[in-house]
Amino acid sequence: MDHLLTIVTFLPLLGAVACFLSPEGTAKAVALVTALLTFAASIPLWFLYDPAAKGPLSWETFQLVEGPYPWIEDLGITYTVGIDGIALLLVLLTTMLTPVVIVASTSSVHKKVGQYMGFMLMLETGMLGSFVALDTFLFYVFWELMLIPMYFIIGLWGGPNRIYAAMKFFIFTLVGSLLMLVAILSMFVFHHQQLGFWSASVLDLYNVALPYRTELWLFAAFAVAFAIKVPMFPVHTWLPDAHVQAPTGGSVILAGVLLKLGTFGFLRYAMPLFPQATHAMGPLIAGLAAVGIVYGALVAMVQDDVKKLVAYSSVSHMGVVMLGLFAFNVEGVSGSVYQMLNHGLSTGALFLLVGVIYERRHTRLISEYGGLATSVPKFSFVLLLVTFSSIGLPGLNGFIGEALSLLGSFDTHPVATVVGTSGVIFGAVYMLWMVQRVVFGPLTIQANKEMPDLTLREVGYLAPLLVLIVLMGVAPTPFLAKMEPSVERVLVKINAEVDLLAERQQPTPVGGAR
Amino acid sequence: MSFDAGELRYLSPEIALFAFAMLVLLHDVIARRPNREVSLAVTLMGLGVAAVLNLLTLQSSPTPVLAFSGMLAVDSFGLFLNFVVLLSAAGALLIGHDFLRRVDVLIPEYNPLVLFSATGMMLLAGANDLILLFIALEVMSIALYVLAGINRGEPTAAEAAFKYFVMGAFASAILLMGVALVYGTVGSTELRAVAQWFAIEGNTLGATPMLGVGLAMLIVGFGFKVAAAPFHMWSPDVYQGAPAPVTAFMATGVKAAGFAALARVLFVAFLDGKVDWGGTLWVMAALTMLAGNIGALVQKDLKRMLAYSSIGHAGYLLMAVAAAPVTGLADNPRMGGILFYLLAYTIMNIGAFSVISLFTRDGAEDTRIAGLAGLADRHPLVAAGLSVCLLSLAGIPPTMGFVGKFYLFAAAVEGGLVGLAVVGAVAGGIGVYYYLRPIVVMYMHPAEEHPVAPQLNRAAMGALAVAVAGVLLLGLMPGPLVDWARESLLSLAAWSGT
Repeated sequence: MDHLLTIVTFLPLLGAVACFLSPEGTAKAVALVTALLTFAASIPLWFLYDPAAKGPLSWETFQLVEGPYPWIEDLGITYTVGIDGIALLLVLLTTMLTPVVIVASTSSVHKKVGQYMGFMLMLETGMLGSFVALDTFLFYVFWELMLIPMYFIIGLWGGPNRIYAAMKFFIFTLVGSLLMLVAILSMFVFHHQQLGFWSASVLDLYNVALPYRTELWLFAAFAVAFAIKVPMFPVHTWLPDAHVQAPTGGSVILAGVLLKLGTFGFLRYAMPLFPQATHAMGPLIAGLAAVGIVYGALVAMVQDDVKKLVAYSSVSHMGVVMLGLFAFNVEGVSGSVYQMLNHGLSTGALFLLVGVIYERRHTRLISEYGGLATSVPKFSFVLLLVTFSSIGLPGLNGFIGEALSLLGSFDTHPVATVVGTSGVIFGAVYMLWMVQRVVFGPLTIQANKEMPDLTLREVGYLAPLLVLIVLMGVAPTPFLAKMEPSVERVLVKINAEVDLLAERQQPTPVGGAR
Repeated sequence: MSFDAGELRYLSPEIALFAFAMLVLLHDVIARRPNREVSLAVTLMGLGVAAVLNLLTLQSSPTPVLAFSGMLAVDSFGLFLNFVVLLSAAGALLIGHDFLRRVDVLIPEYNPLVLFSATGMMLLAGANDLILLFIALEVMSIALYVLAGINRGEPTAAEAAFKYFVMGAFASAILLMGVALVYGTVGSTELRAVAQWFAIEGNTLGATPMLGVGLAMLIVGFGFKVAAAPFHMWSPDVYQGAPAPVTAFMATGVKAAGFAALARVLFVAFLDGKVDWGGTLWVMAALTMLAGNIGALVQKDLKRMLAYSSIGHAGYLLMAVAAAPVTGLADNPRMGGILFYLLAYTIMNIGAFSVISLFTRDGAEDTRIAGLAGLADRHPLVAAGLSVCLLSLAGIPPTMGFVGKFYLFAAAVEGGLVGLAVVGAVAGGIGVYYYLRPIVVMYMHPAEEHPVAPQLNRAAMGALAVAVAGVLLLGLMPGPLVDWARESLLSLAAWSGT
């Protein structure tokens, strides 16, 4: 049990190798077994993680820590993994979604199944590694490791314009992360200058104190990398292409987990490493988030392709997450983390449902559907439920996250929150309008009348998502309890220098000579 | 000046290489029907013997030694690069073996010429005197001019050889003029003497413009050799025109030896705070990174693309070199990244070229990127191997190319050249686009109607397998190699005291 996190992280990679080597027929089984084993291995994490641990952000407050095992010694680079409450939940989301995606992909992926499954599992290792890494170099390696499989998943099994989409995805993400790499290196050097030894551990780097101007630059480098991943307006343009072209499984993982790595990156790296810059840039980021919410919602509203609609809705929803993060208070940030999970569940489910009807009709145009409630009642019920979750209906998970995020950010950024909240209302409009056009109305098209309803397999892989959607809506406390102490600790770090900053800014006007 | 025969042992790797070259040459002349397999085996054995002797030299002289009246420096910097050169030569031989048969160039001198050139490269890596440096450069280059034109029947190869010869001779002349000017000022061609000259009160670059011009000419000469912008124009034509195995050798061995000489001259002779060549190199590095990576974007030919990419890689290396005047060597341990990267670059390029060499049709090379279409379906392992090498060249973890690039960036950032590192990051981002293109074509494009069938052969596949294994293993476990590279680079500090 000493190496549980390492086992959970690398088990999928082993499975990936097995998938690449195994014949087409058995690859599905190998992948599914690996994914389920990984999920099973990750469940004890929930019980082993004890949120009650007290103290400031430090080695003691990360749990199940392995290492530091020296890796590249002259820069203090180590293999160190560990989780806090935030990473715990995201790890579980990842291990839960992967088997779902693998089962869902069995009917949508027909060529090179072994490679597809292999890339999917490789991707899982990349995602899990990024969540559990406590060493910035290790984080970077995992972060980039995610790119290659996703690139192939979009580029090999995607829609007609897949190569363009895959390339765009890769270049956007990589340019962002290269700048981050330079910033990480600068942090190494600053840490060495100030503390006298080389370390790549994020917990050591937290101790570096930088002048305001330097922080701004480094924060910008990190923020660009993460903002691209989130994605925030105006660097979101890769997302609709990637989502629309990606196969169903790719879209689910992309929306479900990959985007969360952007917001997770803000919370773990950009914000606590550069607290002054975070506060200084807060209004700007909150503003962009609000613009993103409204923009994503408005663009989603006019889409005639369901998948594109869901893709733009992601831009909008992730805006809420960003707004909550930059609220700098417990409500906002916990709501934001909660919303990350919600978005993973509900948008993941939406993409799965889009995949279900696409497999039957080979079209995603809203106008091609209508009246599905009579022909496929089970599907329609699930779609309705997930839609309600997505628009934040009270009683389901979306409500808790959205309400907390907006509540928190209203304190800090009232204008941006008001604008953003109006976007959330648009969200209800486009989602419900979509459901109305797809599920209700007259059943006119012959093909829709003959459409088979959800099969047992489909119900099977959707069920865990639906259960969680309801469970996290009616009983949020256990989830919030796991993460709140971690959120508080990060906030203490982020806010520690705020008062200082405010004091300094009082006597001289902002931007004045100092 | 006295000659101590005992010092010959420091030259044992070079002597062994030369002896084996003669042996192979004789075998091919004397034997009635020269056996290519035997010739290859003996040549490779020569490389192996040289590698062992190199290792013994490394172990027997743990502290840096000057031999032959200060002509040759025996330090781990030079010995490290000897290994790189030997590796590059082995790659060129393995890639070339079947390739030359297919393009019907059964010239038995290929193998000895590679060895002669490698001898020059190794001498270049250890040259502590500008005269020896020049001679080594010529030994290396003259063999390469012949190699570049070894496929006489091919007009492009003849053009490449001629271009390479003219540009090379031009560069050598500039370099030699630089040597003369340095000698004219300092009164010695030994590198340490230049450093000692600077140590004298009142001796500055400003006071003696002649030395400044000399240094500038040295930098320009090396700039031509390692294809750094703005002296890089020749390399795409030459790389594209020369036969694939020779291009592989030029791209890796020449680059390693050229950078070795450049680094030794700059770090030993001119690194004392009185001469600031950092700004010049800053500009050169930025230009080289951008020119290489932007130029590669539009290429349709793999060899030409890799030529531009090799320019880009020279830029990354220059970026680290440019950081040296800021911090000195001892205070910037990340400078070892230069050596690490030269090795990484050699390994991944040998891997890439071993795949490129497979693509011949009717005795002519067909290295269009489009010709790779559908390769992943027909030869999944070859496609995967090339992909790993390309991703490593692009600097994606967990490959050796990533670790190497990471160290070059670290050296620059540690030297305070954050701006240059940002330029490098942008250039690297651009670079990813063209490295991914062949992968896209291999995996995502349907095969052409009459696809070029890759001519799989054991020698090239062996080189590919070793390269891929090296790229991945040393990417995951770079620690010991990083340490060795750092120590090796620091051995230069023994000469200059910085």
